[in-house]
Amino acid sequence: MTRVPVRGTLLILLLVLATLAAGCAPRGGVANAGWTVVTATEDAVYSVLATGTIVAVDAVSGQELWRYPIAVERPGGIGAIFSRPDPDVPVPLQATYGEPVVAEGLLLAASLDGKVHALDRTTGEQAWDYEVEGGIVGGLTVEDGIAYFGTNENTVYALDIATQTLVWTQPFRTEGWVWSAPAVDAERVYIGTMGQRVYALDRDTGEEVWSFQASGALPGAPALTDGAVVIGSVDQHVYALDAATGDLRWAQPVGHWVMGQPLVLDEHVYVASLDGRVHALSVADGAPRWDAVSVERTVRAGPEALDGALVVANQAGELWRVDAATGERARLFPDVGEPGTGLGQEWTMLSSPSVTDGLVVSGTTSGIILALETEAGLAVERWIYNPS
Amino acid sequence: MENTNRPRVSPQQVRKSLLTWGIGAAVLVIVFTVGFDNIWREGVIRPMLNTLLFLYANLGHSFVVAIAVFTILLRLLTLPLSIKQVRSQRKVNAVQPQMQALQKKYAGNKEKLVQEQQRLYAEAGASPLTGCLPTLIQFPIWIGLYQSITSVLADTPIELLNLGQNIYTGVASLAEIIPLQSRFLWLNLALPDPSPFVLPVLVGGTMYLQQKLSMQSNASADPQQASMSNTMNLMMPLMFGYFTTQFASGLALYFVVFNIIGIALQWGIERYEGPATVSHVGEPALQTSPATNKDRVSYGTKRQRRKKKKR
Repeated sequence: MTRVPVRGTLLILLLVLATLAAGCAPRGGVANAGWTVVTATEDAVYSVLATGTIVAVDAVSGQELWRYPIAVERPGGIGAIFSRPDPDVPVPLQATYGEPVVAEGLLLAASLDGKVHALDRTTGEQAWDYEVEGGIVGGLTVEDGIAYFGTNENTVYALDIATQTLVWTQPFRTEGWVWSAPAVDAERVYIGTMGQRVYALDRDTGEEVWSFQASGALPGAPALTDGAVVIGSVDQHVYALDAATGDLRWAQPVGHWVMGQPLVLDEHVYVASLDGRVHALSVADGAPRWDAVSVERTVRAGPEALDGALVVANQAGELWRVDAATGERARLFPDVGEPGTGLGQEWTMLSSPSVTDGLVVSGTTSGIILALETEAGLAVERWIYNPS
Repeated sequence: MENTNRPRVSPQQVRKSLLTWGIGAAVLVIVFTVGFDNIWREGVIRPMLNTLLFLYANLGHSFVVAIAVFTILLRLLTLPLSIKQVRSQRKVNAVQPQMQALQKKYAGNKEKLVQEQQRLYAEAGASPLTGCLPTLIQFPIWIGLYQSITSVLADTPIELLNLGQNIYTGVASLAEIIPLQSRFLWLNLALPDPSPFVLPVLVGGTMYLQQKLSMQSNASADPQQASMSNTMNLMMPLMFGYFTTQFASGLALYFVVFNIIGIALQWGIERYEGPATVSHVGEPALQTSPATNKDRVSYGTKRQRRKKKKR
């Protein structure tokens, strides 16, 4: 009888340790820690799923056109600790947070292992890979055949897509990680960093033109408008800087963190904050156009433009339309049920929707892609793509 | 005529059972109503995460110092339980000879044996299960701390999002320290030790030392139990050493500081109370008050002793 507690204790300890091991399985062992990102074109929708698989789906029918890699078999959890991948088998991308880009007949996507992946956009065959030091978190911005991107090793690169060579003699070094895609105009590259600094770089040389110190990290991409650079911060402010000099035009508090890219529409900036509110601010002075509107649940990504309105995806897996002029809101998907519940779907939406020709496409963390037609005013489900 | 075979149930036991079941039912209702995720988030993750942030912000922006102070605070919070654990273990071991004598005496009568053993434990003021309670309490702390560390050190946008949802927004200054400095010497505190043996050896070594100290003072008279303890003493450090190669090194630092405090605690109790009294097998059986030094080893609560005296 006296031995039972010791045996019981041993058994409980081993069971709990096993649970602990399973619950705390290392990040390196899980399949992928990214979220599903989408880019819609007239004929196809391209997506890097949260599992690291890239898919192309017919924009009209929702039929899968191709996927890369074709077969995916990655162990997860504690079993992954002991697994050794076969180097000859194409593997899914590491975590991807930035939307894929279509350019020069290629589909380009960047991943957390520091790779820029280029696939033939019509066949899905791998064209090339380019690897840099550090992880690429923010995705790519492509202008005139050059892909600009930053890394979490505090560097910014300019890569010539045609030749796969670096344009600048050396990458630009920043203070802090770069987690967002840059904004690019005719002369400069603008980029925010987690080191709380915004940089303007010369597009040709990669040299610093100016920098601005914010009071919080800047995880989202900047937006350009009317000679201003607008960017959101985790210090609960939206900043507008003079694009020529980097001087602060205004900083407007929004009550919570901003992690997504602001959207500029007709002299106004629209941003979404983590507390699930959408804000409309004047480009000129940051004054609110209307009182912030709630979409019920956390919004990680920035809004997208939709026929004079905004479309916003929230963490409950819902899509909302917010009138840009009045702030009036309406839920696009799902069209029934309590707001903020998402009807209990087993997914969330953490990336921006993609809008093209009245079609709103959004990717969910479970890999399901929704395509809604919005031309007639009410949203109509065109198709739902399920990778499984 | 009274039925002598009818089991007697004391009202106190009934009340105790009802209370236990009532508490259990209430806990179940709360879990189902509020949701386990919400309880875990509001009760464990958010307090831990914001405490770590607060300590980091106010202790020189050093995450190692924040973890060390956090561990000390947790140890202080669980100190009464830890002391109870050590003392309870000492009491359990102190009555081992009597326990063995009981086993011999009532080898053919299991029911009586159980009754006598329970009585012996009650009189000694010991409970074999008390010993593992503080250890069990540690598990949710470890899991919560692991999740808090990876979230606080947010090195991916998903973790930053998680942090943004869990941070107390009223404390605006906390947002200004993000992202936290996760580098310490050769370590990224959000990732496993790349060396990859320094922290595993430290964790395993300190754990082994702590258990060794504990075993020395609480040497069991029962060879089977002693053998089991020896196995545990070796297995646990090995397992934790291995886990350290997989977990965030910040969590490993927590284990190291935790073990060092445990060693100090064990040493302090040993020094204050002296070694536990363990009678040898073969001594007169059923000596229910075997204390050779009643100031050091308490057998029963005051209430129990008063009752006994009255009898």
